[in-house]
Amino acid sequence: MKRYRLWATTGLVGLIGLLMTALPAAVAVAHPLDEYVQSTYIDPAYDRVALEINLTPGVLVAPQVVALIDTDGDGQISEGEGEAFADAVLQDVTLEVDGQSQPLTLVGSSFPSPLDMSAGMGTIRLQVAAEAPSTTPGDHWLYYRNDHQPVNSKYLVNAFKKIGEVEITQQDRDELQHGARVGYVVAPDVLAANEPDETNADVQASGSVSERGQQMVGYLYETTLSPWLLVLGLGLSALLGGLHALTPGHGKTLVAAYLIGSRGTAKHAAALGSIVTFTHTASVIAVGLLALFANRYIVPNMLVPALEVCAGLVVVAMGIRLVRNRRSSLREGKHHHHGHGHHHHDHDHHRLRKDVRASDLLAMGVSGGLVPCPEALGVMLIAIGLNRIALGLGLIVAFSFGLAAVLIMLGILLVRFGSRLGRLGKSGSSWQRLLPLVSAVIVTLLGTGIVLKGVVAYLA
Amino acid sequence: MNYFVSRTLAIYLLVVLLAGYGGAQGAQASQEEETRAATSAEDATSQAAAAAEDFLATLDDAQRAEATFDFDDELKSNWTNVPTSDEERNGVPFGDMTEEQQQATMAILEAAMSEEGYEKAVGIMEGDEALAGEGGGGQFGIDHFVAGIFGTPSETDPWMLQLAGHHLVLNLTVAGEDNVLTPSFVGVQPSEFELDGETVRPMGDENDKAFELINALDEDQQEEATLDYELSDVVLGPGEDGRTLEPEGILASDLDAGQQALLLSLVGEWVGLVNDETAATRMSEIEDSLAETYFAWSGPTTNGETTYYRITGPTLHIEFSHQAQPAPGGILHVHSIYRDPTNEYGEQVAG
Repeated sequence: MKRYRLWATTGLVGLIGLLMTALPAAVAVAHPLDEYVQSTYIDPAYDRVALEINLTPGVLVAPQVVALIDTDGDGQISEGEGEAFADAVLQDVTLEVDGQSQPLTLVGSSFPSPLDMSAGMGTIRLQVAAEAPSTTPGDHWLYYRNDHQPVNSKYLVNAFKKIGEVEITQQDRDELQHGARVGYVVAPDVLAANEPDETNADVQASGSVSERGQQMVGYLYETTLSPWLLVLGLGLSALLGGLHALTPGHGKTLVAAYLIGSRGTAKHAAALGSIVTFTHTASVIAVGLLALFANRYIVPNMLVPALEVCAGLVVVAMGIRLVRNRRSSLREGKHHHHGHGHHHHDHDHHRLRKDVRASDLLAMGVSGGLVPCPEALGVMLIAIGLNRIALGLGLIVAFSFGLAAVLIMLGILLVRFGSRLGRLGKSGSSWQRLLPLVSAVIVTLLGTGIVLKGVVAYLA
Repeated sequence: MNYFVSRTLAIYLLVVLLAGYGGAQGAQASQEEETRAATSAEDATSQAAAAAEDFLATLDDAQRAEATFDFDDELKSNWTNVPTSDEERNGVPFGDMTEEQQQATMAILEAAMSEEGYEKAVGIMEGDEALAGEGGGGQFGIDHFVAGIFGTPSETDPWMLQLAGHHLVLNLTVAGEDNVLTPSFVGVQPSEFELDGETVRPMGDENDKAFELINALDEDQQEEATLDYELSDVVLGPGEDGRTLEPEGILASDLDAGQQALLLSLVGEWVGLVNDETAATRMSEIEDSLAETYFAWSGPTTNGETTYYRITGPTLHIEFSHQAQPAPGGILHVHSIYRDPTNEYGEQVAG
């Protein structure tokens, strides 16, 4: 049997080689015989990255590859020869995980016989593993590159489909597939499933506290943000900001704008809208920036749960106050139809019916804007809690743009058309007045979630 | 959009954006209904089993020993589209068979496959014969196809026919009424040739339908579908059983109804290799999972150019790749692989 096989293989190789050289143009060459196909599968897990490197030399380059492996030329690949070859391949392979270069460990390998390889049938398979420097849930990425090229080579690199603990979010390869950048997200509940029992060491315990905390965060909030989702989010923020400008709190501002409008100009309205928007969101952004810097310089493991509890409490307090305010303004709104509300506006009326002066405008804008903006602050605090401060800032900026756009537009409309549009901001049916209450309840609930998360992180 | 709806929506979506998907990927509970009439598939199974028994009966003892394997023999995965010595393959070479034995082999395929599928298989083998006639050499041609039977042909218990040669490897698992053709390698060279005075293009539809589909996509969809790296052959070829690549390309659910119809028609070229009833069941399964099915393209989009495409879904993996050699004069050479990552060698139905 063996003899026949040897004969057949040798005959095939010889025949193809002969035909290749003798009839290069006429013969239909079936396959790229002069290519060393190097295909890598990438298999990321939460705590490690596994690679499978498959090397298949075409018939015409196989002898060179075999010579690299079978260094003593005995027609056998010994264990030592295999390992030496694998080491040499791994010298040419790089793997980074989250930006850190990772040493590669050979976990397993299989070599076809030099004979099979010479027949173009054999694939060398190297199983390689590397540690992941961080096992936290959320987004990670790795970069793989293969520069092994003893002979003319063709490269392939592919991530396996992952379901469950890790999911692939992107694969960017260079054109020839020498390298690939693979983004993946570690599921929030993976650590609970894989965590070894934590019987030893306080040191480890502190690490696992934040891990558990983040796991909790992740479970509630983890996400991967695709670009279109980000655009959608920013658009929605702007929309929310615009709608926010129409809520009763800003209705007063609108009335003020209208009252100014009786003597003011479109420019005044624009200035007022801008000032209100600026002050309205400046404090929110300040909180965000503070958190951003604090995050840099304070150990995140300590800061995050603490900040979460604080932020959560602030959000809850704000939410509760908001619910109360809005419930009472709801009642007030009902009375409004019976005429009581007019006193309110008369008050503003008196204070504001003056000549338009820059200082007044500024003071009014600032004081109007300093009224807490719960939606925006809520978004910001949630973003901090989720360690997504940059995203939060982006959302707030978009929110502000929406807010300013609507405020200024309404201000100008009011200046232009006066009282006919003056009712826009305050009239409405019951659902329109109920809505702010609903959003206040949502803010409260989210705050409660954040507090619980922070507390759990401490207790865990 | 009124105030209530827009505001609620905005708040809700913003919260969703921050909160993310919640990590809870709902388990897909889509069990396809088994509503088949159980005639055609049943016939296919009983006729294929009978044909396989006939085939084995035509062999002498030595041939039978060469042709038969245990159903679970690991050699099952030892197949390749690459031309190689008969000895490297599992089973009896056509070259060592009588004409009767060859016909008995083909009768198994004819029973289990659809009419189009069988024609395609014959066309591919004839193509290889044509290649041998062009001076391709001793490893090409129908004589170098081999047939092996894994397990014992039966109408109820699982068995498998492996027909393997250059550019065509069919792994036909028969398990009761289930006829499974994954994994199979379907390629052809030359892709167009004269047979009995007629032009034959065994895989012409796989080529033409794909170009029709890619050109039916608008610019954005094409961009979404396009892989920005080179592919010169199938990725999950021989030896790569049971692997699932991270899907790439455009989601089938992002195609309009007309484009989806083109895609399904293209998929049907592989799915439709088996008997019509089995194929229809599998097609409806694939149709139901369009929201998880991807179409990816790498290369030129003009029919006649060398290109590559891939269609992947939860139970589907198809790759099609024109081979550059011999490049001059157009495409003469096609590779494709057809897999079901969840049902390689009928593992799901074979128990």
